[in-house]
Amino acid sequence: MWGTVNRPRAKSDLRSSSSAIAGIELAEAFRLLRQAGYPDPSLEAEDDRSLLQRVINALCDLSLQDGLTGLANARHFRLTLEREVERAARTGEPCALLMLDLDDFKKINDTYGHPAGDQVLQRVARVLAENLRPMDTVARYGGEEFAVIQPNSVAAYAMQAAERLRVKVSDAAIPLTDETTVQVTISIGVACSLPWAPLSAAEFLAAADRYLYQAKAQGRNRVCGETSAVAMVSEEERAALFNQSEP
Amino acid sequence: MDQMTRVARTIAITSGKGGVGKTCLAANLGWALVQAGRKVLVLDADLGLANLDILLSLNPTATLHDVLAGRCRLEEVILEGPGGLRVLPAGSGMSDYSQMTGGLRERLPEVIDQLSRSYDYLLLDAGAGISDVVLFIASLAQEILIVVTPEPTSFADAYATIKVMALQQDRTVFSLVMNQVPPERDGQALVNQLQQVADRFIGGGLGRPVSLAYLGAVPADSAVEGSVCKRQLLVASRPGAPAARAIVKVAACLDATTPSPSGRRTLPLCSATDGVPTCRLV
Repeated sequence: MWGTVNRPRAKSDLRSSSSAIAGIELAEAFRLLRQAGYPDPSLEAEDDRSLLQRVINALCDLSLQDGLTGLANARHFRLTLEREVERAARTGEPCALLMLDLDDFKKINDTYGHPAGDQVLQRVARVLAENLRPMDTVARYGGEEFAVIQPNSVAAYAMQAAERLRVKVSDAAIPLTDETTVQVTISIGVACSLPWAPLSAAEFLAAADRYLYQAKAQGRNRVCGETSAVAMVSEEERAALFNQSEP
Repeated sequence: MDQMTRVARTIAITSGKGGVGKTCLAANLGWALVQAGRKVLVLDADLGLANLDILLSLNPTATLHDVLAGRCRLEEVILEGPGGLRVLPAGSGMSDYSQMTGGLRERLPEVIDQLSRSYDYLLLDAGAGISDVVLFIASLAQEILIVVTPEPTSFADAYATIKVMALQQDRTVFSLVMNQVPPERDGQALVNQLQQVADRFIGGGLGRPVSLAYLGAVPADSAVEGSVCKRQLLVASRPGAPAARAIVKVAACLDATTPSPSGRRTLPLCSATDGVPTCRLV
């Protein structure tokens, strides 16, 4: 931890002697990193230059992390989604996006208080992270909303993965206190960007949101996504199909 | 064995939407082609919901599943159906195969290659929709036959299937059969409509025109349902029924056409999970 024993004297001096390097004030950065539980960047730093680089790296890292759950935050999510959409278009790989929302989360907050709500979010975040592939990005998108980006994933796989997440979350008994455990459920919307019909980041989000809304509307604790061919047909084509001889 | 062997016309029979009478049509079409002197095998490739054996009153002891798993040889699972029509059953409830598996990906192309040397027609009764399994099975066929009904969802889904297969598999020719057509509807007009929309929206993206070969309409006919309930082939048991006569005509029309020029390439196309050629949409 910060300022503990067994550190080489020179490095300890480096940090304690000056929170400023080359006239750049770092005290606030150190405070932030310490509070977020990061190791002291000066521990490993060879010199001022490398210390500065480490501080910058740690701050970048911190800026992409959700403070409560340790998952990717919304900013990280948006960056990754844009990168994956671009990559999918380039490589011709399919790509899937899952939007997840805890069901009736407000009840937990209202019944057990906000710290309990936070515990639930942390536990759900862990369940999600533990049940996805290493290359998947799982993010806390908003309050009780999560998102998963799956590179190189087709609808069938993404639907399967979503169903697995749904089951794992609903199976988890989440301890709040010594006495109390709660169980929560999630609704999931699954969208897929296919090589022959690539989606932009905005379209992708809208599609996943639409299915999430559908899952909520159908009674929550379920997965909804595209399984029929008809998603491939634009409004314009649909209009053309049905305009003249209404089948 | 004769090395001057046949090369079957391999036709995947699919639809945008389920429940449009694909399996029933495949079996009856197969029988009609047999009557016309062809050697025909219908492969139950609707792997998630296989029911060809039920429709034909067959009781398979082994299925395609066993062949893919290496437990049986191909010859052991081929059954003789009505009138000498050959059937390769998939067995019901093979939910494993509604998902893409390695065995399916590797073995099915070999199975189809092997079969195509012994028959004039291989009819692959594929599932509906655009799941990766359906697209994979379609990619193994030279020709695609789409079964569509005049019902709006079936119609729109058929269009979507044509679009996906055209763009993903670079196909330009699709055969169409209008099924369950009520007396007041004109199958040809519906196909024309599809053709127009395909010209406008798919041909552009593909850079080549898509042509829909209309094989004919099968009228809505209560005799069809009756034959299914009795587990009999309509064309065999009620040859005079309007639907049966229409199916025989469809078979004759199919048999009269030459295999489509955009037939299978030397390598079967891969599934949606690997190496799909990228295509731009209009």
